Amino acid sequence: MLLLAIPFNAQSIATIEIETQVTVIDPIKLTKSVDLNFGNIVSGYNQGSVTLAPNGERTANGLQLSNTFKGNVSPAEAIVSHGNHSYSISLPQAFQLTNYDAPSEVLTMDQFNSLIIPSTESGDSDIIKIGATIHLDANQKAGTYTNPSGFNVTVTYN
Amino acid sequence: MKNFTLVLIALITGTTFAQNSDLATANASAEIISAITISKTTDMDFGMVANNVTGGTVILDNAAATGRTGSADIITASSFQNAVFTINAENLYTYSISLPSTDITLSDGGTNTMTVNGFNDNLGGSSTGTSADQTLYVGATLNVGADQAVGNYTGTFDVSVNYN
Repeated sequence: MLLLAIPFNAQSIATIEIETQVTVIDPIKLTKSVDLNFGNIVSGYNQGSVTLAPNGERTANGLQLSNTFKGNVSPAEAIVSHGNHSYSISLPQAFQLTNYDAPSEVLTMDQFNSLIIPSTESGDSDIIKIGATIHLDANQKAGTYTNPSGFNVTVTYN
Repeated sequence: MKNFTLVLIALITGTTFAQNSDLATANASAEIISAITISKTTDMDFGMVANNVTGGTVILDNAAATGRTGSADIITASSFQNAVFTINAENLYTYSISLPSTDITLSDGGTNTMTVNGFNDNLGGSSTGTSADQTLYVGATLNVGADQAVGNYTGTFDVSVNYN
């Protein structure tokens, strides 16, 4: 900031210098590094669900998970640069995946939750891991379920 | 009297504000595998045996064209058949097959019984799915008792399949 002193008449003007300041911080930044993948889930005769915890563990409720063919299992990961300022995370309430070969078949994800792992190298960033629960109907049609749009994760300085 | 005019001009240039929010998008996926299924195609039938003082065995193998052997007095003209099942499992997924490990009892509906054991199958107890129907042939051994009472003896047994 600039303090301008304009001299008119040295005898009729008084100037005073004050201090002011502003703190500049970097914008908060979020970068996705890993997508969320539930892996292989065996369709059941009854409805059920599978929960993928942010730490990567899967828990099945009324369904079977293959021991030998886990498939691609990963919680989502995103890196947030926060300059050591506190922030909040916003996740979706629900999200739908569609059977790639049969678009009328859908799966619903909900109960998104996150785990924050501070970066050990600096105090400026964290790794956010994201898990969720996926729900299957009875006799859910086999296939690959995805969503081309992806789900949004937002971080906001407090 | 001096007039004083206080002029205080503060110019703040280069407005700075932090972008306080950011958004990222992540993809999600799940691979749903079809449930493994098994259904019965044909019941097991040992055929006809004549009773005698010794009794003996009637053995059905697990071949597609059933073979029958044994030490009992088998009526060779009688028809016979091993058990046949249809299995469907997801391509490349291995599974195990469970047959009875203890004796199965056949009964004439009254007090007379015979046991069946030695269950075996053509897939050796495990296989790999192809997403197409697979055929399972199950053989076993019937134990005919000494002076086994005349009658029609029946019973049931379970076969289950499980993804590994």
